[in-house]
Amino acid sequence: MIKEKETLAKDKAENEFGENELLNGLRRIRIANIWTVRIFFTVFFAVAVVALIIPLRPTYSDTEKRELSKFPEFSVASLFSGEYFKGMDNWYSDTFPARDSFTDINTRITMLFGKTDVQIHGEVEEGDAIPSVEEVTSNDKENNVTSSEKTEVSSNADISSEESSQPASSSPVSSEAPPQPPPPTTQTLGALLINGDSAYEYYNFSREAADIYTDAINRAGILLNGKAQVYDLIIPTSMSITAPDDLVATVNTSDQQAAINYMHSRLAAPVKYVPLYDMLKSRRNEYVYFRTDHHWTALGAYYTYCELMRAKGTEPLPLDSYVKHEFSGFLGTFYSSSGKLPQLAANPDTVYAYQPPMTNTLSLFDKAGYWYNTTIISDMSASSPSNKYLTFIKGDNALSKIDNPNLADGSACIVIKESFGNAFAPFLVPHYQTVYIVDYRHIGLLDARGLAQLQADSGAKDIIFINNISATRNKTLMGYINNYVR
Amino acid sequence: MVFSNLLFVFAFLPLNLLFYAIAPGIKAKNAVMLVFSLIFYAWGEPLYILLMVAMAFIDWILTLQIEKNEGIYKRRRLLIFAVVGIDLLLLGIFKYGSFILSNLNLLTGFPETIPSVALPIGISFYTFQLITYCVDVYRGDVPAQKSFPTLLLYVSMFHQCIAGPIVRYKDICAELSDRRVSYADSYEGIIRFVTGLFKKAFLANTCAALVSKLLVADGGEMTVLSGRSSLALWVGVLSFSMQIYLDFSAYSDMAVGMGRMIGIHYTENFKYPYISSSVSEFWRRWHITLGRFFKDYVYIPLGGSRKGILRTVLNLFIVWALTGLWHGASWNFVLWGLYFFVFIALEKLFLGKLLKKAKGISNFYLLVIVFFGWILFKFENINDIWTVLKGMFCANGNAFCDFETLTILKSNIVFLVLCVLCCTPLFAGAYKKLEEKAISSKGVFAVYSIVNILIPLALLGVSVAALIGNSYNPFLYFKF
Repeated sequence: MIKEKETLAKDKAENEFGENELLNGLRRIRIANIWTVRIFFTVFFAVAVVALIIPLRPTYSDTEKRELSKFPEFSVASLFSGEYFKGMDNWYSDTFPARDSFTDINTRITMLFGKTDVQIHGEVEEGDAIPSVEEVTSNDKENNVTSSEKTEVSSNADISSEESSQPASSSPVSSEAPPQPPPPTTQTLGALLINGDSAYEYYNFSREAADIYTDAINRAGILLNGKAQVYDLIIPTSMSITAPDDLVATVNTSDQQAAINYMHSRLAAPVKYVPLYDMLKSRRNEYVYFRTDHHWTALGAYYTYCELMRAKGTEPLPLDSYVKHEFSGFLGTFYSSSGKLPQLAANPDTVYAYQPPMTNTLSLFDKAGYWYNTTIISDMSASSPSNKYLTFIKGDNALSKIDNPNLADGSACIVIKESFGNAFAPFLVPHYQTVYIVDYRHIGLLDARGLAQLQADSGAKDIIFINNISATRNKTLMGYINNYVR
Repeated sequence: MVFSNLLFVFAFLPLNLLFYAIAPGIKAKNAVMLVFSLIFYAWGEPLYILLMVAMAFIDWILTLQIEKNEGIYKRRRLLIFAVVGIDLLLLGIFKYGSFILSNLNLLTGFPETIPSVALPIGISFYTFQLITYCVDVYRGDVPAQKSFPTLLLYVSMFHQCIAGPIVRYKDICAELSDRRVSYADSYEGIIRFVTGLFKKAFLANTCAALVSKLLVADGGEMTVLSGRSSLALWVGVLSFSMQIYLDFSAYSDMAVGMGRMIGIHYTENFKYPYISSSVSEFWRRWHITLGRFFKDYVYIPLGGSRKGILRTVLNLFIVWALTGLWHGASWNFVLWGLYFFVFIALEKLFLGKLLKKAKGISNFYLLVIVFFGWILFKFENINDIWTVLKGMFCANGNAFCDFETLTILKSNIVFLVLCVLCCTPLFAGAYKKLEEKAISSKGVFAVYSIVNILIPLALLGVSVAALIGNSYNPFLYFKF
């Protein structure tokens, strides 16, 4: 290459410059290139050495809120399948020193290309067509009486769960051997729509998952009939509540109102359904959802609590009777999973938390079967910007409870929830001696008891399913909830 | 292992270069390269490495026999048929076994169960390299390699073993036993390597993410295609066109670059194919070493264009069907190859002369053909191909444009323009100009010397950030 250049340039030289001048020029270039080689290799090998220093490697990503990949465990099988080496590849790149900074740089570079207020992250999936309510009710009328049994059977067939009312099933369940707990799964976010300083999650209706969900709720109603009242609350997400109408009209996301109506239409007595959609929609101008996180705010949860109390025929407490906490600078899951968009960071959320006036003690159930005490509302003022929603009941624990020291009437309720329920559960404390909170996604790993057993053990009279609509399109999660209803 | 992997870039490669630099003498250096190459291959295919070593061994033994039997025409012929036959048979079993059986099953109902054979990575590349070696020795173009480790090194060299270029033995046999590295080699090597890494890690992977958003995600439901807007399909196929070029040529860039770092000059594999003005020219600029292989080892032995027009067309047909099939064991690849056959045959017959007269139009003609060709390449199922084609003209009841498409387009338009520019010689040309100016002007030289240091580091930095920050990092040539 250089040689070619030399001869080529030589010819040129005779016409334009003196020979000496040309040779000097070529020498300069050569020296510059040598320096490029030296500097490049110095940096290159320096990075390689730094990357080998294990203590510099992070083990947890704060922005992505997850444990990073671990070094793979060796086994002969994994060696020959190639899994072992693949695991090493993953570990090496996932825990690269300063990975979060590199992620941040990457986002900023990407931002250089087409900086627009509205963006889409992730792959938008097409939702199922949502059957109209008339369609569903006319179907139900045909087999009105048998509908509950029918759903029971079909849901069992669908996801092979253990069913207490059917001990004849082939699954190896006995009173000695608890059912195999499902592997822990948390909700993963779907595609995101980013509009200025706010983000919204796409929702794609899944009829199969929605049916598993409503079948499970109906079965809970029948299972606990006469023992407790089952309530069902389906929380829409911000896409259908706070996102601007003209924007949502153009977006390829399933109609959440129609989906909720569909699920409502499948719910049968004795389940009591508590509608939330219209109420939240009417309060869309209040701070009921976060902009940088997929959750609702405690305010949204409070209004929902009021709806539930009205449905029960109880007067809800005014909001100002709870102790208010404020944690500013919250940048939630939308922020991290959109790759830390500066336009979201420009206007962080604030987490307001409401602590029950009588207690701030939460008890968590641990693997050994003991309860240990912690706080309902935790101070998050010093936490990292992404963790502030964890102020509510210490995040997603499989089973926790709150005792109200002012009541001794034995009243209890069970809340079956995903993380949306974390902001909601504390509002119930004044009304029950004990509030049990079950995260159905994790309970199987911790507590072998199904819902019926927990109800019997606790004497809870109110069973409150509070689930966000994004979970009801996820077959795996709905499989867990179905599994828990036994 | 693949190149676009941090473990490779910051652990494997530095260690390799370090040991290579320390090793005294060419024998030790070759030993270092061989050990690293075998580890590299075993990393992804811990079992199939045995297949590669075995094939190289068989070919080594038989080719030595070919050389020994100089003058005994019949025996040499028998041996070359045997060795090429064994290579092709193994390639056939491991790459096309399931495909052949499933087609047989469609026709005859037999066999009832089709065993799934895992495709050993890179088998198409190294088998062809072995064939060039055996045939070139048979033709007397080059002496047989006496040392098995050296032949194995040629076949397994991690630079080009899994994604090309398909290096002919005679092109590098001298450098296998004698080579040195100059600063100019190191410099070129660095530039080519980081350019390739950037093209892969930043450009191609981002294009891949766009493809999965606009067309369909890997492993996603093909049903989404019918709902995609027309504009999404057009831009999606455009993104795929750029992805596959940037990705594939990036691997070749990195291979060439790493070769230069140790003083080996590999054959160039891509020369800005999208600026071609005919399909024939495109294939002289796209995956050059594959085109050369089929020309030298299939087309010319079949008689090339010397046996009359009908025979020429037949020969072209065979070559292009095989070229298509080489890209994957599926009919859509054959279709893709034959699609090019049609245009190449037409160009040979009369179109070529017309195209030469119509500059500009001929470039457009080529781009349109290649663009639609990628649809055949991307989708294995003929129904999906049809859905995409119909959807492009709004014939699926789909909209011309929707909110998602427009939003994605808006946030990526600058990126897409950058990719288009990176498919042309623009940046390389500008750099060359700067270098030329720097020879004569001290002022320009100051700029040059700074840019010259910063650009490779910047490209490396951006690539690392992209490799860590983006979840999308596919390896496209598992099918090859």
